[in-house]
Amino acid sequence: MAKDEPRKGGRRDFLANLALGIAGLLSVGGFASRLFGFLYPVVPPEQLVEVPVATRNQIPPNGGMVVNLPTGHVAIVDAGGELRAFSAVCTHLGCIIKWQPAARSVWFCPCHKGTYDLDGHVVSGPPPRPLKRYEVAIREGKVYVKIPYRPPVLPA
Amino acid sequence: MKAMGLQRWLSERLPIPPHWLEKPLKEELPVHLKTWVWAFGGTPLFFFVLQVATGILLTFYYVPYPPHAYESVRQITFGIRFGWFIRGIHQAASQLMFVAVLLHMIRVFATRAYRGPRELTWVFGASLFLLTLGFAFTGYSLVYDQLSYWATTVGTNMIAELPLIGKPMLYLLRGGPDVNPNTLSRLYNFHIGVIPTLFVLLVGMHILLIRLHGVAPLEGDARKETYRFFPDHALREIAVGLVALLAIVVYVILHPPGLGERADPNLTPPHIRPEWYFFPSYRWLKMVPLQVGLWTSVAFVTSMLLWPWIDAALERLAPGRKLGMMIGVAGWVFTLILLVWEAMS
Repeated sequence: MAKDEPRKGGRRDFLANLALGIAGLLSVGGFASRLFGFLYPVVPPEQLVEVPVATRNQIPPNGGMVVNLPTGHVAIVDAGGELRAFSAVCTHLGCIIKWQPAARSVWFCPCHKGTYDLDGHVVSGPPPRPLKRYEVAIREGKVYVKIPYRPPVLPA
Repeated sequence: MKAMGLQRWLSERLPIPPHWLEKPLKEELPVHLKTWVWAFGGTPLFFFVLQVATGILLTFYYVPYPPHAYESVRQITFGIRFGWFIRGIHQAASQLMFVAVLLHMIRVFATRAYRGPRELTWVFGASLFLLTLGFAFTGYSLVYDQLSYWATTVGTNMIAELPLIGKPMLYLLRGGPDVNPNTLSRLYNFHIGVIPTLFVLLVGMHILLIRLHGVAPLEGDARKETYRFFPDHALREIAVGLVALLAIVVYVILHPPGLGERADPNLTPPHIRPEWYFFPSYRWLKMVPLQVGLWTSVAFVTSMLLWPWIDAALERLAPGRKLGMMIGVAGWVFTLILLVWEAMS
């Protein structure tokens, strides 16, 4: 070994490898975080909005319906004169429920046969949670429901 | 003279040593491979090549944007000359590709060809099976009819139920919290870019490992005779592929592809059901609570991927009892029961 040649595996080599490792990690990490940022959508925050869904007399006594709005899907039911509103999105895997009264249930999901009662509670099938309940208000014969709304993700 | 000149010109510019080509072609295979059951290994690859060819043709007309996607598929199916034929081949071959992969897997499973040192060959093969399902799922989502839209909604929603990583993964896959225009372009990208790239890499690794390890010996077969990969075995594989192609062409001519109703995000249709190869999973999800369905599916896939090691552990636990074979067969039979049950209901 020549006199001036640095010893292999010595401190200088260790520091050089360490610096190289840190630089490598920083560059890979920097690239990976930007790649993730590029692919991950910018999701606008949810806001509560009050929307008209129907006129009061469109909902038959002890009947129910699903109203589809640009802001979301609403299941509305007349339970002995009291209006109740729910999200019409099945809590199982996201299909739209429909009004289909049976012995114990009134809402039916055609995807995996889940059913819910007048309170939005699961009666049968695989849904893990009750339907999400919304606040209802009636003004001048119109039914308003407060629903969480998220503006469309950009770019559309 | 001219031919010799051309050969020399080529060999000077492409200096590939002749033994590079000769060695894999002249490989000696054990004689048990000389039955048709062993000729299905290359069939999935044959279908994949067919899918790439017909898929590229379909991209000439398909528009991966929700307002136009359905219309473009309608045009391909009913408007463009021979569009029905190309789409029909693509659709039918996707189903047969799934069948071919499954048959190949069952054969490898039944002969326990996955045992050490060939565990990784199985892992790559099982991953190719999952990618085939990925092809089917993303491919169906592109049609943008009712079944396609709701299958996408249901299929992607399952991911959201995974703890911690579920929601971020769902957002990444959909390009937002709900199924939106970004979702279609992402699924399209997966279908024509990400999954095919992974598929080619895994097929390469799978074939490389088969060649490096050699064909797995058959338990209880003491014969020492061999025969050549080319032309004997290769021709058998090509024959299976050609018969399959003929069957597909006849099927498509007799049953041209149809198209369901345009996707309606406001209306989940009654009697919605996925394609038949998802029946076991669909039936299972109807029977059990969501978390149970999800975690049993994760366990099923994980044990399928790690099967060579699970089988070896079971063998150590109870030598000679063939516990692994019994559990595996029970798994296959249970899956088949779910499939038939859903098909009959």
